[in-house]
Amino acid sequence: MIVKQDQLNARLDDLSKTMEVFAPVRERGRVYFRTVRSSGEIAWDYGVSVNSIKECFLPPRQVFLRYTSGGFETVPVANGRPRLVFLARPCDARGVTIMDKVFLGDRPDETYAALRERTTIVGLACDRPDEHCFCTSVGGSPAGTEGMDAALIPMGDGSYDLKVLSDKGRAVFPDAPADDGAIPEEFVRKAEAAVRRTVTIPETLRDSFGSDYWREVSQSCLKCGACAHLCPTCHCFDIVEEGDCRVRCWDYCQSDTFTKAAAGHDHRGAKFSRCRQRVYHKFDYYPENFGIVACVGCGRCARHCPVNSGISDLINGLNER
Amino acid sequence: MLDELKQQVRELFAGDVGLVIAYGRSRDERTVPVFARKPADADALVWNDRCYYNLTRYLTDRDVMGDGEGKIGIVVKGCDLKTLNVLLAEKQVTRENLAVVALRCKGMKDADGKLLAKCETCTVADPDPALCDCVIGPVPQREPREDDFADVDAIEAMPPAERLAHWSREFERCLRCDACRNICPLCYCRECLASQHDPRWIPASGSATGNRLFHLVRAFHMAGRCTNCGECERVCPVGIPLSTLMRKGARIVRESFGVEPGAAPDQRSPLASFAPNDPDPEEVAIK
Amino acid sequence: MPKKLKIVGFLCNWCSYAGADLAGVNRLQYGHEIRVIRVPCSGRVNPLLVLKCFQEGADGVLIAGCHPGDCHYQDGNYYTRRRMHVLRELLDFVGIDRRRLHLRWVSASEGAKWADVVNGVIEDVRAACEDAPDSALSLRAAAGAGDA
Repeated sequence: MIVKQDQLNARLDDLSKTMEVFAPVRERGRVYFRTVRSSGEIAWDYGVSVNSIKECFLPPRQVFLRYTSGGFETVPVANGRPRLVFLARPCDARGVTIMDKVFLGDRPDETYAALRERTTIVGLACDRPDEHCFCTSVGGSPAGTEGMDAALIPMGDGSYDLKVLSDKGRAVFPDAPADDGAIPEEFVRKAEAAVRRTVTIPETLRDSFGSDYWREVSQSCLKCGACAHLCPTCHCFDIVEEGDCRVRCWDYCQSDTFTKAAAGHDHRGAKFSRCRQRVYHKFDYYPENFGIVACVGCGRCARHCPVNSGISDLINGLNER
Repeated sequence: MLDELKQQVRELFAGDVGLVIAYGRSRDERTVPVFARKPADADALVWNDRCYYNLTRYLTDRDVMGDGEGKIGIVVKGCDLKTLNVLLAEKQVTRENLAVVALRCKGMKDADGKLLAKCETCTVADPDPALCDCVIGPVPQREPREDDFADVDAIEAMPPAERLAHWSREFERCLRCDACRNICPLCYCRECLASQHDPRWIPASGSATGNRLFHLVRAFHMAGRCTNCGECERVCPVGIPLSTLMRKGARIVRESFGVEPGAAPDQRSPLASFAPNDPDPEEVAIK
Repeated sequence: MPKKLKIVGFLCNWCSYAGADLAGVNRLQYGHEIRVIRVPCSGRVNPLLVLKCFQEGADGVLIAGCHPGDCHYQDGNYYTRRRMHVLRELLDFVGIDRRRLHLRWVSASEGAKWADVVNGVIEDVRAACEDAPDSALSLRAAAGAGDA
């Protein structure tokens, strides 16, 4: 069903009365996914946001216990309103399904499951990959709909082809007709051709664990958490005591304290081994455990790395050895 | 100029230098820090207007420096040289172990092609030869404008409640990724206090208070040491104006103690020294 | 009912603590809001300790040391002077009330001064709390306030 942008804006304003809406917003020249109160705040015209939508399901900071004089009380998962993630890119929506493998596995995470259940994801197909994007090399597509409850395909003239893909999507767009959800081939062809970067995951990845390559390529790495925190699939977390509460918060594998054990032993102390670990977790261990590469090719790591390194470079470089 | 740089680096390897930290190209053609370890590596060096990295950051990186044997060569711009001075003054590196190759600089640009703010007010485009082993490149014809600290003034003009709200809005975006800390050449503590569990000086999670504390403490640790290379602000994924905070620290130190960080390799850090007429809460000057 | 203030005082052993003790001996009255921690020298007070006090809910912090020139360890208080000046200015820049942090010189014989200093600091901190009840550095803010 073809809809115009202002129709969608109007629908969004309606929905925001009962749903918490998360949409791209422009702040100081960059685009972030944020809670919005009205459609006027939305930056429709965006490439990839700085942050991914994973924080809708795994909050960067979550107070889950509060200590009282008698003991403690559990803190309910953020207000029970239904939520809407609006205009998520295919890479981000797909990233959520990849995280589902861990958080909705045989021991579902209470918070994640609750947030996932009451969140509807409306995606925006991508017609503008940049030089860092490589979704097509890791099983994704700029026209992909994995993880979406409804998808919007830009027609190029300010209107969108709306496709309802699930019951949740139908609840948000009850007027949309039944749809087979197929994206027009022409759009898919053009969009996928626009993805310039390719990544070839070497078959010898497992065998390259001991290679000197990792020492060489990791030299410039700062061991910061920019890549991990922005990545749609990175999900490591820590649990800390803060003041009078217990908090779950994002952590990153490059941090010096990440693998520190009691008495100060660190089995992954060298920088190269951390850099290597990040690549292997996403491209070797995750596929072994869950059958899927834990990378969606969004390019955020490359785009925001302080020293302009990126995971695609690290993998492609290995191919040349 | 680039050829002269490459030749200079090749000659360093002929001497007793085992590693040269310089600028090069990544696989996807972006300018990145590189670590040359043999003469042939010099062929791949670059010099352009995206060489914004302050490479002195790697002089305290134990994974890169190894056991510290042999001399280390490093390519610096005038601004990086100021940071090197602080590292020398704080005895994190020794001059004898370094071969400092300085480059005369026309200014660096950000990812959008805009001249960096610090370059607009740069007075060290022509590095002081006394601080380096050689200086390469044509003398730049630059007319820097004076740093008017407009960004710092703008905040000081706000009433306190507005100031708090302003910084809260900025710090709200902070992911606690530590990119600012990790890129900083002067944040070289083996164990950052922000990572300490016991005592937990700074909350680990990205709460409003935790973020505020992290940046406040970093600004305090930088006061009188930071040479305003601006890298912290460049690398912040969410665009927090960290340079403004660091420059406020620099202004406090300049106005109150008359000290300019990085001016000389033997200058004592202002917070590790004192003067008879330091600002006093009871207006007492020592005789 | 006005909020019960919590003010932490770091007193150097040789001058300020003795001065406070003298105030006690002379039965001089001063606000009970202050909780005293004895340190060897005001120079021992790491700015992190000051910030930790605020994190744990302190409304204000007072550091009291020997008069410049009289430090038992020669120059400890000179460093304190620089440090606290920079800290106070940075706190102010980020919007945290400078009336919450004080540095004063109290000698062993200045019992009366100690009482005056404490009362003055309490007034300043109370005024700061009237403008903003929360120091913006507390981890023990009211449940759900801001940091949820």
